[in-house]
Amino acid sequence: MKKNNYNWNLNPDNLSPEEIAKHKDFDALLNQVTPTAEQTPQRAPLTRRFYYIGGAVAAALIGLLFYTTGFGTETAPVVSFDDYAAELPYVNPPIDNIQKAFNSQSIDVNKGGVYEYDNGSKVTVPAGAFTDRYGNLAVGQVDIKYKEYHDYVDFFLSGIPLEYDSAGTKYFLESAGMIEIYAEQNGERLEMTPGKELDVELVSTINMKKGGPIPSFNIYSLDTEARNWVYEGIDRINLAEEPASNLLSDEEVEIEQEKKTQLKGLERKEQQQLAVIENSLPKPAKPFKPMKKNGTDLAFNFDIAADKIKYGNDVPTEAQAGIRSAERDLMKLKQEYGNTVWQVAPDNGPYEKQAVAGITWDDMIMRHLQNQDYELKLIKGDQSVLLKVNPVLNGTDYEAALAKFNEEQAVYLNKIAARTASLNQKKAVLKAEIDAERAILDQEFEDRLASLRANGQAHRATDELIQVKVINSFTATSLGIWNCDRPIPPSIYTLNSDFKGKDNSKFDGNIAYLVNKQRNSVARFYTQKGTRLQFNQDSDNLLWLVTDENKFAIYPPEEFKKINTKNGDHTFVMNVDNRKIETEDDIRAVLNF
Amino acid sequence: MQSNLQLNRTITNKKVVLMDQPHKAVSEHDMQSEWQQIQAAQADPSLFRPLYDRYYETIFRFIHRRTDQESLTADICSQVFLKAIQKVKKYQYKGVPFSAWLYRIASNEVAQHFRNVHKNRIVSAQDHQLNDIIDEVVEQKDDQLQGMLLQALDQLKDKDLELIELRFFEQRPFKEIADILDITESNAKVRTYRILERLKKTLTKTNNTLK
Repeated sequence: MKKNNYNWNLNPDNLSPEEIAKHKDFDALLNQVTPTAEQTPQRAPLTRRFYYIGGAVAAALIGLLFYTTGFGTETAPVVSFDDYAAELPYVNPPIDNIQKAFNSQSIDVNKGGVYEYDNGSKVTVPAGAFTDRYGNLAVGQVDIKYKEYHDYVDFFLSGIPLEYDSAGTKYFLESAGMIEIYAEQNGERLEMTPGKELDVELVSTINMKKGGPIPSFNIYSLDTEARNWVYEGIDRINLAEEPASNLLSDEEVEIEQEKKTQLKGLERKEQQQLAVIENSLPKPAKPFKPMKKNGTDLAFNFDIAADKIKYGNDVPTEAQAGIRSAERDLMKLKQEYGNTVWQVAPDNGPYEKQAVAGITWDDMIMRHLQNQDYELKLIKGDQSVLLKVNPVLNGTDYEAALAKFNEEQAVYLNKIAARTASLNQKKAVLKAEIDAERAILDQEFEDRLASLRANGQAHRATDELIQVKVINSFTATSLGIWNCDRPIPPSIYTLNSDFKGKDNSKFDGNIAYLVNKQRNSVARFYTQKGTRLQFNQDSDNLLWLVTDENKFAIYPPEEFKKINTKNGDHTFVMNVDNRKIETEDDIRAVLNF
Repeated sequence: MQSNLQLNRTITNKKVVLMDQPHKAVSEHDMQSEWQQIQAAQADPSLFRPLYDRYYETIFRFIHRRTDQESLTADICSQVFLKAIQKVKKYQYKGVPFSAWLYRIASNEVAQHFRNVHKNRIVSAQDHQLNDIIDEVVEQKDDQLQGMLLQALDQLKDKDLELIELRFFEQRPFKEIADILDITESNAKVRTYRILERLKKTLTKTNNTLK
């Protein structure tokens, strides 16, 4: 008896939902994952340390705070950025006169269309896409205003917030690219017709880990009324180009190359087999259709013996064979029906009929053009004339030839149909075989890749970040600002921060902007003593603010590396850059890192 | 298991048609809503609770079919969700239900358990499910065929049996099977087709031997 590989359990009883539910305990599970209060790290921020100080001391500190604020001294309550920003426009460009310009295209809104931009981004606008604010369909020419935002300088200048509140939890959004799109007619902003959508393909570049998978992003639209981003769906993100080999492990590259080679081989095999099939059944000979002498065009009667036909030097051998074949048909016609005459072709063009007919020509050269067109050169001394001619039959000869042709044509067409049906059948069998081979090939390579993944040899993701060009595809159901984003987990380090210049001047009441080079996002903070600033010290960070004199005060990446995060407090000593700021390029020069 | 099958007629070739059965698929909208919950859980493990509540029973039943012991199932189920919470930060949404990822973890945990205890794993099946397979590979039924089929299934490699299990014993559509096994839907179909062909040959051979 063979040893069983499995233990078979036939017709088992199912557990009831209640029996299963009694085993559920999420809290116990969570305790295994997250540390309890006693396990809190020792470097807790200063404010939390108050919790552990004796009650009397805490009360004294609170009393002191009340005393100092009651007498209006320097200590002021910490204002959060949200509270500060709530008083400002939701989209608040920091520098009004330096803004990206809209790209404007005029479209016929009755037809719609696909609009492409220099970087490859596309917007597909359906017909009837817009209405005015009263709900009337816009007709005729409409201006589409479009611009894109890609990096931290774009985000900074736009004033578009990248904070996102999801069910009471605050995130920053890391962007794979943003668009702002409107439609205007006669200077008035239009709205999207209900039910209509714009299809957007936004080309951008993103950071990803070398050897890692393409990061996933969501689509959000900006609701300026609700002052929040609205989740709209998943970004259908794809690489704009073939994945570079540096995104795959060596083994995967080898497998991919092998697969491509084998697939090409399969294609070649298919083409070769198709050619064999095509040649397996010879094409039936097409019957020669007689043409009728029309009695109006000039016609010539030549007595041509096939073996006496001369060919010009420029007539290639293979063409001569074709001509001989055509001549044999004509000879056959002549034998069967008497005289075949050569009639000037309808598309010959104007010629002097009387001049041609009234001359006794010494010589002629006939050259086959195509089908039943021939070039006839009539020669007399230095004089010659070129005519395009067709072989034609006259009267009853023509009628008999036509009747015979019709019979032969019917047979020919039947043979063609039968040949086509037979070939199609063979081609269908070939296609099924090739498809099956292709499926087996696909599966074999899938299995090999699966085996690589199982052995941890695929997509060896490293920490090295590379930039790749991607296409973000999504549907915009309204006009305005749309973003390809993902929420960023909270940064690791939080500091109670203060901001001043090198001359000890204070930078209170400004908005500071923080960029993490690994994340395409900009975080904003309200500058004052005690601002809680979160950042990731493992990345390169850049912090800046715009002074009242419209200068940039910078805290560079190398200074971030020196911050002692154990303190919990830090004063950011900002370096004011005195370069003149007039254009976006000026800003990029100052904020480059 | 022994089988004393005697067939009165030859098993003839039958064209096998693999049909998708009606199944409650997860809609794109639901997956997208769920993705937001996952992203929240990635930031804060305590926000994993809705996912835990949603999938606990499903995963418990998946494991129970493979262990047939309630307390063992509860232990493995806890392990599965512990690993899920620990690894959820690395989870990426790819248009595939979150449940497929959980099933993969569960499948691996079950396999690991049986490797650790050096025992054969359990495969649970209903009579009518075995008959469904017989219908796919044989034209005419016979009482002895079920025993023969079990013998043939017992000889399948674990990966192949897993396909049969998911398709016939758990009635899952090929799309879901592909998501769970992290293969393409066409691969799932082709591999299932090949397994059924092998089963057909085995049953035919066995039947001819017994005649």
